[in-house]
Amino acid sequence: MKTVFALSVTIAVILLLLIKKEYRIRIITGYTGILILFNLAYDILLIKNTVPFYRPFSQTYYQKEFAQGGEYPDSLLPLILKGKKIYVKDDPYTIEEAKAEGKDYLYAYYHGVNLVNFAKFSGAEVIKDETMNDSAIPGSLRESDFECLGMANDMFRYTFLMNDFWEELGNYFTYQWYYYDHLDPIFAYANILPDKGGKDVYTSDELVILWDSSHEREEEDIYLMTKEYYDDRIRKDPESISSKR
Amino acid sequence: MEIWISNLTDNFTAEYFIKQFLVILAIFLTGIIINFVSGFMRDTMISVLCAFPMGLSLYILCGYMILAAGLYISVKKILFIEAAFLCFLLLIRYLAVKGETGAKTGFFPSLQAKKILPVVLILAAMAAVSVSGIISVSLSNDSMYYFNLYPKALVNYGVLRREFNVMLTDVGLGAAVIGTLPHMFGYNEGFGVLTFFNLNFICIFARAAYNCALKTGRGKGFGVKASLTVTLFLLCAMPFIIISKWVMANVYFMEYMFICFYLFSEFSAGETGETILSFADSLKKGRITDVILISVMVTSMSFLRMEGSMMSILFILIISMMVSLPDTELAVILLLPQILLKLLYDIRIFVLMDINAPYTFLTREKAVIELAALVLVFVYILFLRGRWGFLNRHMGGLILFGLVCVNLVLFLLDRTLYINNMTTFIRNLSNRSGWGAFPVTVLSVVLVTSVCRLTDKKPFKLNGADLFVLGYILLTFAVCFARGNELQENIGDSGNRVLLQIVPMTVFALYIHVLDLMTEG
Repeated sequence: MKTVFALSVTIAVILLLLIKKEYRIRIITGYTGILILFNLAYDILLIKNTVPFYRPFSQTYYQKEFAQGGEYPDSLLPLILKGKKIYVKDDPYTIEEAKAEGKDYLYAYYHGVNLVNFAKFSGAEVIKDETMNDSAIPGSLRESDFECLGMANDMFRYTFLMNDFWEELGNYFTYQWYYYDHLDPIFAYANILPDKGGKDVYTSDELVILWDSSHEREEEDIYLMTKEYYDDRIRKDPESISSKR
Repeated sequence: MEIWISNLTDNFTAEYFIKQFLVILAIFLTGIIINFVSGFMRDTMISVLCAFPMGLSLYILCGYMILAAGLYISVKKILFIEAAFLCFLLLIRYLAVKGETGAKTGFFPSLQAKKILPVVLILAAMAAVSVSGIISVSLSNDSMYYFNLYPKALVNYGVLRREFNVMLTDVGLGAAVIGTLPHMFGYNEGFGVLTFFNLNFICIFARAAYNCALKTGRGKGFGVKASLTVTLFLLCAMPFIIISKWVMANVYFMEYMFICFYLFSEFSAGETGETILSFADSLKKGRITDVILISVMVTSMSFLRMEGSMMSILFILIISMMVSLPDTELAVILLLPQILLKLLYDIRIFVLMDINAPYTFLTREKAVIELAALVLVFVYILFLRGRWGFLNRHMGGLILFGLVCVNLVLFLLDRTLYINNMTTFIRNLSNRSGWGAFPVTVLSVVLVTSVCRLTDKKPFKLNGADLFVLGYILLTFAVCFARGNELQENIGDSGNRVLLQIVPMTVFALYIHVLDLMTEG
């Protein structure tokens, strides 16, 4: 269609220029106008379907449209985590333990470590707490209290920038294989409601990130909440104790 | 949840807006001081319009130097280097002014406050609009990680780390340094800087078009109309809209390429091109300082993308045909900094860090080839330029012929890969890979101008812009082959994006031919 139109206009203009040489400037002016309108029409019709556009009124990399599509939670999380104390589990895995549970050996190296690196990189102080090791999010609370921020595989994939592993273990391609090709989607969740003290994950200075450890899955969804909420609703809830490793 | 997120980000909006606005003004101020101290191009308008690109180039180069040298990057170090550069320019300017006799010339050129003030106010308003978010941007995975997370890591850790891995070989360090601006100065995204750069570029493009139209002798009114028309055409071209808004290195490379070409065109305007100036004459006329400043932009441009050095070689070869600077000054000022800085970076990542991933865009072998090519051009300019009449007369044709030969060799090396890449390029051009109606428009204009030239019985001649566009396209084919794997048919494919970068130069080249038509008519 565009080729036919362009060809027709080209032939018409050439003929006009040959026949009406004295009107050359006017013909070229008109021709230029047609070309501008032609390109403009194409832009209006197609450009929105070609690449996504955003108006960054928020002054942040995170755009409100990302929430609708569950994209790039890792551009939102640093805004929340910066300057905070983050409590996490302290449950390292050995390679033998990982293999015994049918998990890839990389699980032993990456489990917990990459998330801790991400949190530190985001400007948080990370505190490992062994007493949290058996905590898990009960299904009922997961449904009612947590919002899904989106898929976090890319967030983990690029934590290769933050690691101190030796060569093959720490390189881009191993991370890509593990988090992009090997694992299923990992999701990030956040409790955005105010806790008992009236604070939410942004206004509270102490937060908890739980990773959802399970024998069945290597994919560990992550849950962000205030420490107050964790102490009140997770730590005390008998349903929240996960089965021992 | 959207409301909660909106409330959360509202906490940062004012602070980040002010910081980014101030950073834009600071970069602009740096550039304008540098331009005025050196009497850049002896043209106030060019000094003002190119202030931001100059300031940004300086930041890029300073950051690059510090990181490539293995030092910790900091604002203090960058300011120190910029101050040292300013002192250097003052010295050059002093030597130039000292050598001038007879006519009164001030140490600093006239600031012409009446002319500058309204322009500066307009630029400040542009900065506010750019940062506000009202002008949209486009984001992709690469924007989030290569252009944001990697620069954030550079600032967080302060140095290049082995753990950065493929980022060191696949991401132009110059582009990453631009991405450090938000993290160095305490805000979050650099979209305002990008948008301001775009708006600034459009002003430069319009100015370049105006100057070009004035040369037809049809008066200022014609110049304004022609400039507005071609600028509007550029703004309506889908590839330009997409690349200019896409938060990646491509937009900076695209616009710096045009800016550098425009500056060299202005630089060479009025020169006979026959007589090579002496160093003393070049110094007196301010040519040396002009080349130093343009070299800052050319060098920083070459570091924006991994294939940037190869593109800058083509650029410098064409420029060497256009200007009458002494060989030594041209080679030393334009090429030597790029060679040395590139060598420094390559040694750091391949020798000191021993980066060795399963696949990287830049490999040791490619780095050596790039450096060898830069050195060859350096030797050519020093020892061969202007000495062989044949070379002088046919340099443009030889460049294109050379690039065709390179492509032929690559084709023979791996026919399948080469043909697949060419097929993908054609499919990207004709399908929905960001090109819109632009390719058929270009073909139409080429046909119309060619037929008119035939009927007018005028010779076909390639100008500098044509030469650069054709050379760039041939070089893009070669560079994409060097990537190793096949190109993909989609807008985000790097080969497609590299080709999209040539749009402003293409529009300008066609504009020159259309102006010729209208003049001859």
